[in-house]
Amino acid sequence: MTDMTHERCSELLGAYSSGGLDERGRQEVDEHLATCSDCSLELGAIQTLQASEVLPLSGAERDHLSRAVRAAVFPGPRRSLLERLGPRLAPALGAVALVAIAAVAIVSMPDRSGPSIPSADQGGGGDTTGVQTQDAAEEAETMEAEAAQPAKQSDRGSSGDGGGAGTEGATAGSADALSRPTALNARSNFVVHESAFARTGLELGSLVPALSPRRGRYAYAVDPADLASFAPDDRIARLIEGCAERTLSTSPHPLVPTSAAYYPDDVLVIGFVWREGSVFNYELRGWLDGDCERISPIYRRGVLE
Amino acid sequence: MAADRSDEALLRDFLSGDADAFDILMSRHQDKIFALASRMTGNRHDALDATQEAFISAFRNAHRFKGDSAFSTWLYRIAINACTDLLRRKKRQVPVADVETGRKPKTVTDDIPLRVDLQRALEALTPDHREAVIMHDIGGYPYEEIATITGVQLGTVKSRISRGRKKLAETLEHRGPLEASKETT
Repeated sequence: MTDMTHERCSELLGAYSSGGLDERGRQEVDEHLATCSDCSLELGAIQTLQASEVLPLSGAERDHLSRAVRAAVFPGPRRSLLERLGPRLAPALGAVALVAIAAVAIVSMPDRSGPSIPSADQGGGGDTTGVQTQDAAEEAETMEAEAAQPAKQSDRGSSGDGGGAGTEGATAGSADALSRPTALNARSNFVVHESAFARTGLELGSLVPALSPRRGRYAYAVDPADLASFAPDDRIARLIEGCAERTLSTSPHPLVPTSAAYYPDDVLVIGFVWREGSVFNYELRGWLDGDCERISPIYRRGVLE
Repeated sequence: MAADRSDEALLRDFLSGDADAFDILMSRHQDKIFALASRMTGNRHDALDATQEAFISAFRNAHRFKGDSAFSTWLYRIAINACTDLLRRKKRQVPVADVETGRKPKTVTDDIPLRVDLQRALEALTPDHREAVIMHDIGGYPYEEIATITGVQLGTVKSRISRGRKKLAETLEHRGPLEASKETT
């Protein structure tokens, strides 16, 4: 039989490939395949797909899945971030244990003073070490927009002069201080691990432009370990946890969460560090809306050296 | 025995507050959903995330399940949506491998890509084609059921699967998608 149509053959190829056709069916497909390069091509794709195996869920993955879904479906007492992240955090913790890497929690704060934005990327060791930001709402592809940073810096008003990341901006007793928190406040509210934090190129407790699509917000650079005490209520704490969990789950790196931030009602951002040999990379990613559903693009990634 | 109940009965029990029903449904379906998500997303982290999202969405919307199709079909549809959403979000992000260092991240056992070339070839398909191919050639869903799930004509399903496979085979042969994947940077 050589009158099998191309369409009919295509329909049978799945069964053919998995051995589900009877002798006659197999022969018919064989005959058609001998004369039809398109169907042969299709068969190759099917075989490739069927040959790719997925390792089954591990016990830890099952546990995680069950806990995460249960927590979302049956709201109950809040559990710790570590508990929630458990299986995913394990490799990351291994990496961090070796180096006691820095942590930067960035807490966005409202700002009513408009465009005066201390530049975060002028402080540390050059372009690759500063945690740079962009406040555009555009997509991630617009990372080139960082080129706009110098322009922004030029109108940052009272926010200091270069050297110390955002610190000067934060401590300057300018009009801005009336409308945004000071670095001193940040320091008093958080414990910051300086040795690690220095890698970010930021000043401890400094105000930096929030990694927000929204203009006019500021962030405090602090340690995420202190977020628990900072988070004013369970709702916000849950958002931060959700953000960390989601971001960890979408990265192929053994990430260490290094920053978390919140501003009630609208924003969250989380940063991560991972290690490749002796090099530490960072990325600040995942700006989420309050419902933790929408993640905006990664804002910055680079190397901590 | 609770474990003998049908999926649909379990879902009703879940809605009546039976937490055991929830556990049984999870354990019954998580492997298949995870396998689907792994193929759709290309790595375990994303797959786990999408699986989680799918189950959360399914249980939260359990009252909307009409029984027009099997629970598994309904759940599968939700899982595909979860994967599509996740991929769309990721598309807007910088591809993770394209860090400025240009170095590839160290792999950890947990997130070995399924098969980079296959995954990239799948990603090169249009979402409609990818979905149809994965459902049929990996998920084992018959054409008719895919038509029901996706809400398109049977002929369209057939054509999507056929074209999707061909495109997949061509891309695997020419390694085209490796370049295509840089588009979003």
